Amino acid sequence: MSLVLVRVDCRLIHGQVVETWVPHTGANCLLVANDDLVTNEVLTSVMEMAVPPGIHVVFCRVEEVRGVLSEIERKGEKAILLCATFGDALEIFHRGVRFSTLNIGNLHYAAGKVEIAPSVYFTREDFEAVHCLSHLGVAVTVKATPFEAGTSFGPDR
Amino acid sequence: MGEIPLRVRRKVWLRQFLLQGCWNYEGMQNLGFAYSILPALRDRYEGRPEELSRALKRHLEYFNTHPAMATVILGAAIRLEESVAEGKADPRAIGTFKVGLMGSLGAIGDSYFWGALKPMASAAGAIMAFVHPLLGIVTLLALYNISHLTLRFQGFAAGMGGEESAVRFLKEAGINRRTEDRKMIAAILSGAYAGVVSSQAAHMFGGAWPELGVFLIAALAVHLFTVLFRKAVSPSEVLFLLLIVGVLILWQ
Amino acid sequence: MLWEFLLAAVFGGICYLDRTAAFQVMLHRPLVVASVVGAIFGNLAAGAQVGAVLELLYIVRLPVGASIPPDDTGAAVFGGAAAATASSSIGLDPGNFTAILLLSVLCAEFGKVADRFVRRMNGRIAHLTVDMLEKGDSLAVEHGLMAGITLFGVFGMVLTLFFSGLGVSMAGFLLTRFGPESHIQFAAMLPLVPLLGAASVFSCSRTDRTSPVFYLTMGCVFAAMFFFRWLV
Repeated sequence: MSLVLVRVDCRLIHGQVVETWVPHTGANCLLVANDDLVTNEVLTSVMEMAVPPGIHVVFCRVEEVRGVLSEIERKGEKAILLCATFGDALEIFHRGVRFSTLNIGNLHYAAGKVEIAPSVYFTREDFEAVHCLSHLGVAVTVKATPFEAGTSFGPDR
Repeated sequence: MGEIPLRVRRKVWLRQFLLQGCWNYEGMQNLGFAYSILPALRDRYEGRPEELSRALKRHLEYFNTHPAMATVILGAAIRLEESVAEGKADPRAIGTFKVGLMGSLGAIGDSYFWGALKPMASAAGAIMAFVHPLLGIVTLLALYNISHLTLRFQGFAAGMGGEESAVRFLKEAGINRRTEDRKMIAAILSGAYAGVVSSQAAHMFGGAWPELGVFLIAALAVHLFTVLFRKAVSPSEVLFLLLIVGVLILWQ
Repeated sequence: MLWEFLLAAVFGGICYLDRTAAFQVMLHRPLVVASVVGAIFGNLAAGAQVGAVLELLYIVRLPVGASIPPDDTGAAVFGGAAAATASSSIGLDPGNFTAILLLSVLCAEFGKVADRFVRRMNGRIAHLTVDMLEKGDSLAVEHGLMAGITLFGVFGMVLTLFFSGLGVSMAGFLLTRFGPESHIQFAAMLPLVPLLGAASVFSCSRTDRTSPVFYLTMGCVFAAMFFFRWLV
């Protein structure tokens, strides 16, 4: 399987991903699925600078993930898939990209959100999404870096 | 309205050192950012308290990046606030800009400062401490801070030049390449350190163990530790294990 | 003794501030902290010896985002105080040295929990600040930040007092119990701790690319020192 980690993180590519998850998983490709980012050349160019040489970065729209992944698979690369929200992760799953665990990195605070872990806050919709994912057999784990113990939800089967 | 006076810019520059002064899980560096940019906001919104408080609330939104790289965003945010104060730009653009850049700058800063420069300076300091403790301390502080303070200042100056200037600075500074170089030097220095330590160990065990045997065991131990770290075992856990082994040895 | 602890607390407070809240100019690194705390308790060199080992140990745990690494500053306060005290009474032999290094991990983990607690308290300060701002207090941001800094500083001082007290008392009571002669096997673990530190730094570089260089340097330095010792 070419997908070594699927992560929901509102900051997408940042220090935790580049410095802890990449060495830990041995990934050599970062796939960023975000509709707003694809069109913003300034932000994507800065994000590319944040990634060490030898790691291939791909930005794509949420709906394109499946196609891009099969391309990555053909090249034999190991990829980390990053998306910003639960909604995106669910859509990716529904579009036929199968994964058995979903890692939650950071979902930042806003008024009315419930604290799950330091730096992870859920809205009502997020809880529903977790429920939905558990139903689909995906284990949701809240874990900012691999060094942490983490909290897990589901799957309920 | 003219440029932001030097006096105010200097104030912002001094304040940004306290960016993480009230680091909290909800807003992270939000209060520090608002505190740093406040002198510039006061200058721009003089006599307009309503707008000042609205601007301040904008900067109390969630914000987190690497503390040394934040100056780039801070400088550019001041420039954006200038055009907002003159009614030339949409205030929402500031939030989008900050949020868009903070993750990437966090990654760049974490890789360069925490993942390359600090290990390099620490290893150099630890080696120099074999010669003399004070030499070790001076090496550590100098190696880290020359680069750290320069980048902090250059980032602030580039940010003050506006968005394009900030992005151009990031491209031209070549931090990515520098990170790889520092990481390589850190690996060489830690290799030298491991060499000295294993040589001391061979000396400590006296003639009982052949020198080459001690070296091989040391190299194997380092290899084992690296594999454990990659598997996300914390150094603390290894030390706890050694502590338990130590207690068992003493128990006998 | 009282003056020593007070001096250590002030210095420790500054170092803890440097760790997160202000400047980040690496004053909080174990090499610096253990040396200065060692000097305060009477022996800079002994403190530095412990500090140099602690310096590298936790480097692999980067302080990225909300992830808090073990508190190596606290471990260094403990180690520096213990090493300096031990060296002036019973001497810093390999047995003591090992014991100090291994026990310091308890301080590092405890300090991490304390750090998390301070950051939670800061959350309340931040909330209060926003409330005050709503009420039209234009200085609220300044006051909030100063409250955060004070909290970090005071916590640093308290932790320093605690860890240095622990270090001094441990050197007085515990270390004397295991003499150097009877515990050669225990002291044999000593080289493993700095090797763990070396591995920690090495792991920060991209190991698949740098490992030939690392092991080559290690071998060369080892051989050079062997040759040098054989020469003299």
